[in-house]
Amino acid sequence: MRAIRLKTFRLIPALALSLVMLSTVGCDIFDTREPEPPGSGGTPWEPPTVPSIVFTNLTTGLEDLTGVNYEKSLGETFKFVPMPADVDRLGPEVFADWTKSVEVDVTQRILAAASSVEVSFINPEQTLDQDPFATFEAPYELIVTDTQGKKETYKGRARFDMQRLSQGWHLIQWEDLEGVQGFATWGYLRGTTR
Amino acid sequence: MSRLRGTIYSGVERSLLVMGLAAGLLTTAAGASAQSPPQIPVANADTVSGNVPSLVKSLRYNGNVKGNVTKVSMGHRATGTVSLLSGLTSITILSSEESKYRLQDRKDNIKSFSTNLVYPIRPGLNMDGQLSDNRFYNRVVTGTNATQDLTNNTQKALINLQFASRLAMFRVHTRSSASVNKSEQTFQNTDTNDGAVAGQVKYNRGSRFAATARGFFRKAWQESEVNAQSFSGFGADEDSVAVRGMMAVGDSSVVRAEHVRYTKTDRYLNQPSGVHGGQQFDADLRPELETRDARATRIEADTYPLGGIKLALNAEHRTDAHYFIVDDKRSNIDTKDRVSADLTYAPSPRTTVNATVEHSMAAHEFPSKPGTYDDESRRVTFNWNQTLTQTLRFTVQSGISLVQTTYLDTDSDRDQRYQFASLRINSKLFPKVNATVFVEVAQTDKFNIKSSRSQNNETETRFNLRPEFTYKINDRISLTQKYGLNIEFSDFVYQADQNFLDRNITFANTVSARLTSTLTTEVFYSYLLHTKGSYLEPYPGAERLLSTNQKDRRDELRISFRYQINKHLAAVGRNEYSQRQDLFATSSAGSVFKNGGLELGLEGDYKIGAQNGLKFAVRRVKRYGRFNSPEQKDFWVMDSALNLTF
Repeated sequence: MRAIRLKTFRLIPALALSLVMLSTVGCDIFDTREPEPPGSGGTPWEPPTVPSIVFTNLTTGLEDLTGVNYEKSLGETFKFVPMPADVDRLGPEVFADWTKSVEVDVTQRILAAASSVEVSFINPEQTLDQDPFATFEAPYELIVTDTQGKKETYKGRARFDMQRLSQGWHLIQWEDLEGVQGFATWGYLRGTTR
Repeated sequence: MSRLRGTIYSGVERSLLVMGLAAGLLTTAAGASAQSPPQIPVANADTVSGNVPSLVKSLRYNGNVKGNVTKVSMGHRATGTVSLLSGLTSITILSSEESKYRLQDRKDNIKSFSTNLVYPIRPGLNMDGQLSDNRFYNRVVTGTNATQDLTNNTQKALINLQFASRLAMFRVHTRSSASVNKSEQTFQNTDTNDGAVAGQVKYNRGSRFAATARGFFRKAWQESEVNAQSFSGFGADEDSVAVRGMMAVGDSSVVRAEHVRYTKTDRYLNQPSGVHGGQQFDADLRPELETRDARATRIEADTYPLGGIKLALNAEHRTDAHYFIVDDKRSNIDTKDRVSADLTYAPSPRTTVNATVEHSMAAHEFPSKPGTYDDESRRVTFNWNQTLTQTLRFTVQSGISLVQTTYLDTDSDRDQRYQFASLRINSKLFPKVNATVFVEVAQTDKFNIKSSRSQNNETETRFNLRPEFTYKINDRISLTQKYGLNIEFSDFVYQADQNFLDRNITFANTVSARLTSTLTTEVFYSYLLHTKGSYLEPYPGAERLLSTNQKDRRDELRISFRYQINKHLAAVGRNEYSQRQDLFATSSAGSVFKNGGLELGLEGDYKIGAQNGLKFAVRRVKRYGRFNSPEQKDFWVMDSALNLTF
């Protein structure tokens, strides 16, 4: 009996602490801000039931300048792998730990400085189909026009690794494979924007 | 480009560090210029011995061959060590590594030579020097047959002098270094001379009080040549100061404080960028001036107010101002403040309760382009580990976090809130059966705040149940079964007609068997049934119904064996088969996609004496499946290492 009482006594503070923690969880300091009702901006999200739809959502998410669909298309483990030449030019520290949150921040800043964006993934070629993984390779083109009307074009060829997660297919790795003579890669733009 | 100094070859230099050589301060200094927290490039006096270990004359060779579906590489490394008179030691390293890529027309070639002299002048005073020549070459042939070459060749001479001494309760350590570097790169050639000094003083008064002060200064002079045009007056100035202190307060509290400051000014040639940051290939390189001022102050306190209770408090303030005077779009200023408290209560070895509260605020400012934003983050987590009996214990975890991002000049403001609670029960049901049950509920709110981006705001709610059993039938056979039920609801705030449900049911079996003393085998089979569909009220107020629009089944089978032919050599094999079947009636009915492959090979481990040996693994792989290219369908996997000491 004594041993049981002792155990109970020791558990009481633990339970009390648990209750305190649970009550903290209920506090309004964890309330989100009240979102504004949607306006006319944004492009509807197309459920990525097949991997190729990811390219559509990436494109619409950039071209509508919101980045919403672009962000939703990235898996939580997203990673960007730059070309060696871009690493050489900007330094490896610029591309270190390139996670989804870095990619989203960088993309938001690119979009913030743009008045329009045109994106093309040209005839993506599927090179791997081992559900839940799929890989594509494709040349890409990104044309960014700033608020003064100046245009810049970025070109390259990249490998896109995708994974089917609970919410459909997502991009989990973008690896720049090669550049195009006379143009900077999208990866270089990422690096200078970070 | 000039930023490459001390980066690509840091791997080679790190190897030298591992070998116990006194590494150059300059190498560490280059590492300190990484973006995040300022690292003080001063060796730790605690780890620096006043004497160089005595080495014997030796010649070592390491060779490796590696190959997989992506690339094939071969590397060689020869290390010669000679102990000369008066403790003078010479270490020479010659290495090369060549890689050819299979899925891409690309090759890399790295060659490196270095010779190092270590001379212990007297106890506590050592001198070392290094001569090195590193060559890096990378070629990519693009889809349009254009060739892109990248070259970086560097030669370096480096001398270090280090002094370590103990004076009463003070320990003093200083290092000074000078180096000459010559670099030939794709776009420019550079000559760099630099010198650095670093010092550390450490004071200890028993275990009650300790203080450390460190300082570092480096100066570099650089000249560059681009297209036969010379540029001079480049170089860098770096310095850092770090002060740390620890004090015991009473019998149950310890307070630690730290302040670090790092500043850098770097002048070099740079490729100009356009309005968005893209390179202007038709423009000439132009001088850049880069400055950085990073500071961090941290205070920590650990206290044990009552038996079994520990309270840890932490406060931190960081600033990092990074400016590019010409390419000013890359400039940024980061400021971060963070406070946290961690309370742990362990009334007995069987019970541990832990709670953590954290609040942080960060400002990310971009002075010359849009996108400035603030992050505010709050987090509370709770963890309770309880051992009930010798065969039963559980872990309860719960928490909530909120990250709010606010942009100064765009509509990207967003909030993300994550809440979770989980329970894990571990039990030894019977002497031969272990069981684990994991239950989790989690909810994530992803809200964009502004009207232009709030259309797709959603809440994801996840329920997870994962029981697992391991049955050790006897010493030779064990069986593991894992079940899983995962249900995720996605509820859209403004587009309720888009709400959907995603459900996965999984079942996996693993049987491991040691059939004979030399033959082991494992069979794995898993099954997954995935269902997805809209989850809506058929009419207002009614219970929501799942309307399936995607249903598929995946089966996976893996069989592997390992046969130990003798004590050095083993035969290994593995067969994989996976199948995905679309079960949704109205889609491409019953379509089945199959993937798989067979691997067969040998693994060897031959040791000759204490230091020589050969380890290898060679497997032939044949795979099948949709879209696999010929290179992905048939390839060898190799991993071999030959170590010889003469």
